[in-house]
Amino acid sequence: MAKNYSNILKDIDTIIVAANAVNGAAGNVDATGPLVFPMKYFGFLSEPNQMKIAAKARLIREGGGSNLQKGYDFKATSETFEMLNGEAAVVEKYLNTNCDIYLFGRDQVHRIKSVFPEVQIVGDLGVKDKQTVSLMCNDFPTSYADNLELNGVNTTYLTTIPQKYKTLMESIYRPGIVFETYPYLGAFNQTTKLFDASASRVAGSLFNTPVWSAAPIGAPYQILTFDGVSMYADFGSILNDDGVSDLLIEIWFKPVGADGSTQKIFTKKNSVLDNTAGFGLYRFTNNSIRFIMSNGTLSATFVTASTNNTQNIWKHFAISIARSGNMQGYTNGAVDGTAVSVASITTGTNAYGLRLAADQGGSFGNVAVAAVRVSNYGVGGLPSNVASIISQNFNAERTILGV
Amino acid sequence: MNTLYLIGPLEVLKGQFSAHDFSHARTSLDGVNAVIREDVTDDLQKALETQGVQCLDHDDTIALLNGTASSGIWYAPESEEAQ
Repeated sequence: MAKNYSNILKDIDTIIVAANAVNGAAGNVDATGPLVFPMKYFGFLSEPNQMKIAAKARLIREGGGSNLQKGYDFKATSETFEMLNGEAAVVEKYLNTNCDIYLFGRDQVHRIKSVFPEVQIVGDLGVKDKQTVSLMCNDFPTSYADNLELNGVNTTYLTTIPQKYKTLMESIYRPGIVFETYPYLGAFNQTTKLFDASASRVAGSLFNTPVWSAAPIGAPYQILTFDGVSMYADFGSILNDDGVSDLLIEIWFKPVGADGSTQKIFTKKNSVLDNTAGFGLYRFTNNSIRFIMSNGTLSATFVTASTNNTQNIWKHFAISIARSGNMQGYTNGAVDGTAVSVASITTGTNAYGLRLAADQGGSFGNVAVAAVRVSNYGVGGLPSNVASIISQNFNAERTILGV
Repeated sequence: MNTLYLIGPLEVLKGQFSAHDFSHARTSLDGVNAVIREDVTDDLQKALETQGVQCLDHDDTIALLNGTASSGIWYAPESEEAQ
């Protein structure tokens, strides 16, 4: 049920944004648990007892986690964040505080201001002193950038960029998304983590310090560059190809390595040049883009007709996969190459990590990545208008990359 | 001080750069050699080179590690049969 947020917020002086679990894992906000970004639940609270109520509600939903961080006003950006162990400590710390709106997480605390998420209210916790206390949930896919602000970023960023992000995300076709990571939305003060903003909310790891830099459109939009020697991102063994579900994979990337060299871009596979089970996207030596699906003994490889995927040129590549039919690649929103049958390729499930800029066989990619999005439409569920969806998504994001 | 890719025996690199996180460093397939990126002085570079560590810039590192001569050494042999 939709509510008017401004009315809800009226006379509320404290808003606590509780942390979410990654993939619903328990123990979500303790010091050793998984990361907790983006948010999943939050409550509007006006005094400590209500925070306690919200914490209980969150624990009931997620089955674990009892630590919360104390959020500070970010006027003093050098302040560190204090871990509070247990609800009692949380209540004590918040007694007589008059804080702003905070998002809590193990590695991040973000303050929300001015922009509010498209959330579903899953239940009111009650009315206290004529103030409504609501528990909200944004379980449906949304971007962490819809509503968040960064610690220590200037006022312009705080007040305008989230709006831009929100508008951008609303222009993306969202049904079916099971994985989405957006380096172009920025590093969020992270150097070793890269977040999946889909409902799956996987926290990926960045290894050997990939380099963040401004996107072509300029700051605060960013890109993430991998050196082709040892830098990569790993999201763990997720997104296994079950052999039957229709998929759409989209990625914004640019080759940084020399033309005529193979560059690994996005893989869940030992090598993209053998028949080991899994899938992989790479730029080949003739500068075509290739996508391979293998089941351990057989492979099918889509090859773009274009061979101009050259150094420092941003491309949006998408591949639609009708698992009992063909896969078809698209470059910059248009069909690029001949469809290839994948009907004979059975499941490609493996234990490898889903990686950016590397495969599991010790091969890397000297590439920059701005976004990756994977949609799973289920058996036979590939939208008949997938070409339009790809074009829509390409057009929604192209200006960020100067395309 | 130069920032270079250091390619050589893993144990030598660990001994010299104890603060470096080697848990996800790229290693040769046999695990004997590794590559890391570090700041080195000219003197340290010379010392490392005497211990079998190559100190290379990015382009030379790419050429060495990703070239066909490193197939089966730094990365799994790749067959184009799947193409």
